[in-house]
Amino acid sequence: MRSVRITGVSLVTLTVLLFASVSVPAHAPTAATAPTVAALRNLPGRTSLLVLQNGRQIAALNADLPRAVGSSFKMALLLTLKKQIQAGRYRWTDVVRIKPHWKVPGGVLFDWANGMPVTFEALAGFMISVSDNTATDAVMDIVGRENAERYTGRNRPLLSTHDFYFFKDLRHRDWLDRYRRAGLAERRAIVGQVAKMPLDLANYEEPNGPYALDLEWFFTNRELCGIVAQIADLDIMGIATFSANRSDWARIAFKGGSEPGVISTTFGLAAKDGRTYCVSASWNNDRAIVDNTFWEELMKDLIVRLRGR
Amino acid sequence: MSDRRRGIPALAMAVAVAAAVLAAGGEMSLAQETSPASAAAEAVRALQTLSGNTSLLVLEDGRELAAYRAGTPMAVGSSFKMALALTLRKQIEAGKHRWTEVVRVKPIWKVPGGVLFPWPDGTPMTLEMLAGFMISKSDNTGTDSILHIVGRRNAEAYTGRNRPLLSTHDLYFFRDLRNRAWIERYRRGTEAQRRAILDAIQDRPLDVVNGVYIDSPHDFDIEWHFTNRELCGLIGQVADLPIMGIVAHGVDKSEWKQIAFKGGSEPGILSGTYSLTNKAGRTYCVSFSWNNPRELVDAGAILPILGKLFAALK
Repeated sequence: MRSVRITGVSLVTLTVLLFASVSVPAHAPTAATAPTVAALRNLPGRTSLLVLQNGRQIAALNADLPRAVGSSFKMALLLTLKKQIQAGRYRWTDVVRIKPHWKVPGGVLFDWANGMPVTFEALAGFMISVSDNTATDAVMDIVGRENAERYTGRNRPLLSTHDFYFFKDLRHRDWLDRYRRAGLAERRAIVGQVAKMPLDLANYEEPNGPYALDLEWFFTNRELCGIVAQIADLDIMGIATFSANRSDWARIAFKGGSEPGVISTTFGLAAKDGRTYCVSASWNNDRAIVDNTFWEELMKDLIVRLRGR
Repeated sequence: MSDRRRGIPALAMAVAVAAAVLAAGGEMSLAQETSPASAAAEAVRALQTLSGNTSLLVLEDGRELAAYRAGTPMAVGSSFKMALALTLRKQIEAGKHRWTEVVRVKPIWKVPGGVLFPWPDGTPMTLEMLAGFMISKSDNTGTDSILHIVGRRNAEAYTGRNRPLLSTHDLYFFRDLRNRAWIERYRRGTEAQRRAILDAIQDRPLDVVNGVYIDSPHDFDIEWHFTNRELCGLIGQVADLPIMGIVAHGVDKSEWKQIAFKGGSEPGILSGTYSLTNKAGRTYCVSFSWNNPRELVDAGAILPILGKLFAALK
């Protein structure tokens, strides 16, 4: 059989065929991952994938190239919080009151009153499970931006979700240009100023489609697998499981992120036979929005095949 | 002069106020002005056209603007959760609990519906957060947590005829068609027997995977029953709590000085209670209920009626 050039139509056929043959055994990793790799290669824009089985690589596509990953960076904040709790600085049961400057739309806590007392574990749980931005900025403020940067590599300064919203407001192009031209010290100074500027949501000018994708959070899939492995034991990583079916696995840890033109998902999976998997994939497209539903199906198919029968 | 002014009827008063605003440079269309009382009367007429039973109460600073079957108990779904918020508030005021108190969510408190159900057992949560989700997302796990923390019997001080007060776990259990025999026993039971049945049910985990639930009205007698007058009484005692103002369906928060809301629904049941303080400082209670044992009720039919009413009260 000669190699087939995958077109849109044959891709559909391929997916259907593989759906019909989910009995591919879990010890045939290439058969499980090859269709996903092929599909990712065929998408417009930039894609990447890493699949690890018991820590060993069984599939990789651009796995060491940084991609914009949206809210996936919140895993690094959770890791920072976990480390500080292990070091005895905080406890999961600590209570903090919601501060006005933590309030960022997206999630559930934005509508809550200032001063609402919440536990650290609840903040962390909302940051991960519904990608709550208010909870995220709360956790970042609590652990400290520069402390979190120990786990965020090239993302220096690490942007808060407030910073992100501020820069993506079309009225703030000047700020964005200044930030782009600046060195690290100056960027820290700009972010320091931005942190004090209210978001002014009533007049917010939202971009239509992918915008300033250089202003994002950048990680490789290998880095994301490294982070999820260090927090997969936390129960809050399993509240929302996206396209992984809860009853198929002994344990699921998940975090994803998306904005127009960006989607990224990372799963830490423990199979019932004891094998562990990391599945991390990203898709960036500067020119058009990415199809989140298509992505969900793509990841679901891969995860189902990995599980085997 | 002052003697003659005393008798200005409501309508003339509205015109006089509007004229004064216009004279001061304000923009107000005289033709669009509807008085709160006539808007409330119109809401009653609109509710009367819906199929099934409806009821409404509209109060302005505690004074009745309109009442339609407002003293008739109706099934109100999750609206009863206001009574739990009130019980918790009373216990906090009495020094028994604090809003910042941390509890770990127990497995038996977990009930589907809302946001907290998929969270891990034992997650530490503040009482204010549990109560906030109970109200804003009608979270059933938050609700049963609060019910068990304050105590079912203590809550019954504020729930009138609802004795014993059902937890959301109890309701889910009875709604599972596999548990028909339990419903029959419960119906026949005295209050003491009913309490014993609920004690027995409480420890039985909900089997939501195998449970048989239908999306049509049934067994309205196994529900929470309140009159709109009672609901206005309840919301009046909790409206100032921050947890009551997180969301209000059909209300734009920015248009009011203070809002508070709790609603409830089940197949064939819809109820909502609002406490709204407008920028002029007047506080309105608007409480409606709609029960139709024969078919599903549609929130889309109620929202325009409320929208018109709120526009006049604002």
